[in-house]
Amino acid sequence: MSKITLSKLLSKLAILCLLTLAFSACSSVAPWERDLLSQQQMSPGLHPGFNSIRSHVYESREAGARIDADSSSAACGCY
Amino acid sequence: MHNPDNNKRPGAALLALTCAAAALPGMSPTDARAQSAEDSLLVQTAKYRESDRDLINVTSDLEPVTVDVLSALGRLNFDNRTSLNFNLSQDVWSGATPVATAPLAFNGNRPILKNTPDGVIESGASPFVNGSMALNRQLQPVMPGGAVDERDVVILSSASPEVRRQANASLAYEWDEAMLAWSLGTSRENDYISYSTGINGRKDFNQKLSALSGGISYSRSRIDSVIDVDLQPYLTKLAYADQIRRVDSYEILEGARYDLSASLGWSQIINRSALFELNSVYTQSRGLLENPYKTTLAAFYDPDILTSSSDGLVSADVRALMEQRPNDRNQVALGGKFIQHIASLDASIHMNYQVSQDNWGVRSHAFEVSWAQPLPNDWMLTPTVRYYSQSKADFYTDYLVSGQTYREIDRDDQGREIWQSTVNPDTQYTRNTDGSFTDSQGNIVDLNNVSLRPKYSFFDYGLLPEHFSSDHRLAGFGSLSLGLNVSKQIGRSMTFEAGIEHYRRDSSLQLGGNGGSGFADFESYMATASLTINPRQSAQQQRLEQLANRSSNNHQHHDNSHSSHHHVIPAGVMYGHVLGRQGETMLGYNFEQQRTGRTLYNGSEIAQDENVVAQGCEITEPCRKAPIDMTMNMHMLHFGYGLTDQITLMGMVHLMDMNMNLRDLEGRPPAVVGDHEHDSLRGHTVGGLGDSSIAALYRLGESGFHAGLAISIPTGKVDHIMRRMFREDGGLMHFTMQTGSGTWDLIPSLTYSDSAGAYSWGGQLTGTYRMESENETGYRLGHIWQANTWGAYQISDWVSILTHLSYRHQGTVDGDYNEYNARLGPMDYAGNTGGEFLDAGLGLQLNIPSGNFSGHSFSVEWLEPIQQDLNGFQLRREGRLQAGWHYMF
Repeated sequence: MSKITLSKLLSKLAILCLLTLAFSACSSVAPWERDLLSQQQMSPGLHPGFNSIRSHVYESREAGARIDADSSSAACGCY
Repeated sequence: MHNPDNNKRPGAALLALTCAAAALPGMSPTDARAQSAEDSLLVQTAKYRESDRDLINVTSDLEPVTVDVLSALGRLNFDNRTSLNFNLSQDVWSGATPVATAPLAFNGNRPILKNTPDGVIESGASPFVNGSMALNRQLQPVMPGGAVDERDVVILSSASPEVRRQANASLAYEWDEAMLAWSLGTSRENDYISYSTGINGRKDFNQKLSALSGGISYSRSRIDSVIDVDLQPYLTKLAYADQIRRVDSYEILEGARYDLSASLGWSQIINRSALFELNSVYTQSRGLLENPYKTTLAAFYDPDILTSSSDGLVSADVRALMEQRPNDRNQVALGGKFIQHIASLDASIHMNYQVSQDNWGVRSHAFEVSWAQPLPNDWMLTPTVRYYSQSKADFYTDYLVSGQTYREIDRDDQGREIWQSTVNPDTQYTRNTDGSFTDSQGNIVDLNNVSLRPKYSFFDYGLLPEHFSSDHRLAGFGSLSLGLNVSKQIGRSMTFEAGIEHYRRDSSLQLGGNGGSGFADFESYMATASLTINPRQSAQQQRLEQLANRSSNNHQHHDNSHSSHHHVIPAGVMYGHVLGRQGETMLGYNFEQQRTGRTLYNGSEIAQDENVVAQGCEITEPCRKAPIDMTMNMHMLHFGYGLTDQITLMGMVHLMDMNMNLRDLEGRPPAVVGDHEHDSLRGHTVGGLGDSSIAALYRLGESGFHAGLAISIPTGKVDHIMRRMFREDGGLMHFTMQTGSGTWDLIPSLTYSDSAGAYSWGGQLTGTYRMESENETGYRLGHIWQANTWGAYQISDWVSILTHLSYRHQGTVDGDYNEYNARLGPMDYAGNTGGEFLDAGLGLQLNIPSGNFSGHSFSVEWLEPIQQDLNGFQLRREGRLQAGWHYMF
């Protein structure tokens, strides 16, 4: 990976971190106001079984690195 | 962004009130990580299938890639702070896959022609990776007719089925605002074993509105790939000479790879209806990163031809080289997910974007949007659309063209060809003027005593790119996926889900332009079905129902519901559990492993090879091969429902995989040209969905008896074939290596179970009657009848030990294959199937009587054969492992 590309990605990461901290500072939702957030359809881990299979398919057919890749499930992927 | 709530900081009293409210059932405040913290178990089965590949001028008859998956994901809380997460999975892969890419002009997929009564027909395509091809002076491929054709095509070859098993576990400890977890994992295939470990953690901030997460993991993988015997003679492996080990006639590529991964993430609740996550992952991989089964074709030509005065075509010598990837890879991925509640529809939208970059030059983008829509009666629909695009790796190439000859015979200083001994390559020979071979002293060599071959100098690797690969997964392309998940919550403790997804790889969808790899485009379908249970919810529900029962003085039903738990049923006895009351539900999983010994028997006597050759097959076609051993693994998922207090309905699904190793029989007749001689260092494997069944069990009053009637549905395959090798079809696999019966079967049973004090006992008579005379491939399995008896002693509230005696009679296969079978040995003849088997077993059963896991039972037993009388020539069975889990609620 060229240094230029890496520095671009790192700078994007830094911007995201700043935005994140900004959000963090602005945000305030009391626990009793989190009823909507606790609903099943709001879960970031919705449909874990279905998505684990999808992830496995993408992993064996695509070359791009993925956030949800499970390094502990390393496989040959030789097909 | 200004939020008026920012000024309202909760005081200590308010915080205490919040904590109290949070402790109420159903009022748990969601934190930024929003993970399920309850005990749960998800059991899932899935099927993946690709479409046929477009080979342009020939039609392949090879089955495309198909995968069957069985997996279980779960979480177990030991206390309020310590939990175990686990993921167990098994995939069975089979089908045809691209081994190389070639210009269409090379004719890499050659039609297989067959004589039929209607004339010669094309019955399929056979892969060719070595040969010659014409190029024009601009080095463009030229078709036989003389026209330039720059279209490429994948060369498709069938691959032997493979089973991959994976197990991951993670032990986590939670503090009030932090978590630390340690994980271990392993993934195993015949040719690939991987171990991993990692640590990840999370720190919550700002009343759990924000969470910082991170982790590091390390995996070490061992590659031990047997080079495809069909490809081996045609594959140039010079670059890997030091890594290839020979075993008999097989070549095994050995290597290792190491992956180190670090992740960092931030989760943030934005407001009461939205949250987002940002994540980043850096992965460093070292070692053998090649795919041992992918090759790159190189067209070698004599560069002097281009400088000659002739303007004719250039003849290229096309060879298959093992691909060469860099030994290091560094990947970075960044991702963001935003989730917004849509108040008007009470739905949520999930938007996900990921970008990645690596030092191989692959840059990818993935956009995904899901809409989670709750519907009345606890249904939920979640459609998903995903778009993906990647650029090609720097070293990706469809094929190579190199201006040098592939190889030349070495010559000495007098211009004579140099030959060498095949046994001792350092001993060299030359030819004299009359063509005789002479050694270094000029003595004429008797070719009856020595085997010679030319000594070659091969091409210069330095004139090729340092790295190259034609694996189309490293090409530039895009893909579009459309998915739909449907879930239904059943009661408070169970959720059923079904999902489908259609995936389309399309080179023209690559961001910024066509990836130019349209020859590798395909579509695939994936379908899943899963059941999730939450034992804590179920236990709470049971406690509430008990309270309700007590309040209405209705103790009868409750007592009935648990009466069956006290009866110990061995893990290997099917249809042994009957539910106690209407509405009660049972979920279960059983595993069985059956291995054979390595000695062939005829009836009850050891069979000598010469007898097997002469009598095990047909007089006109003596046996050539015999099984060394066979292993069968069966996973069974079953579901039961109490239709009434007396009638229980059940459904069962099986997933099977089998492996058999073969050997040459002593005294076998020589191989006949054209006959399939299936050789494989690690045997042959099949796997996939087995037969399914539905059953009704009827409780015969309070007598302790229940009668059952099941119908077995032929969902398993009976046309598994051995892969085509050297242009010879493998034909149908042996009878015992098919995953289904192929017939609709009737399975009656009569079971008795009773108990007194700490003792319980029971017995069962059951049979399998094949209701059809033959299946789609021409035969039917033998009828079965079976008798079981057992006794158990409860040594504590929740532990019982048991003994088990099992008798089984299985008839021979009736009929014969109606399609080609290679008739290799006794396992391909109907007369060598079935027999009588008497087994004795010891087992253990754990019943969880109370607490969050009330209603669960685990059982395991080992059955050892006491007596076997086999029909014809077969391997004897060795011990059988049975393990099961049942959950009644």
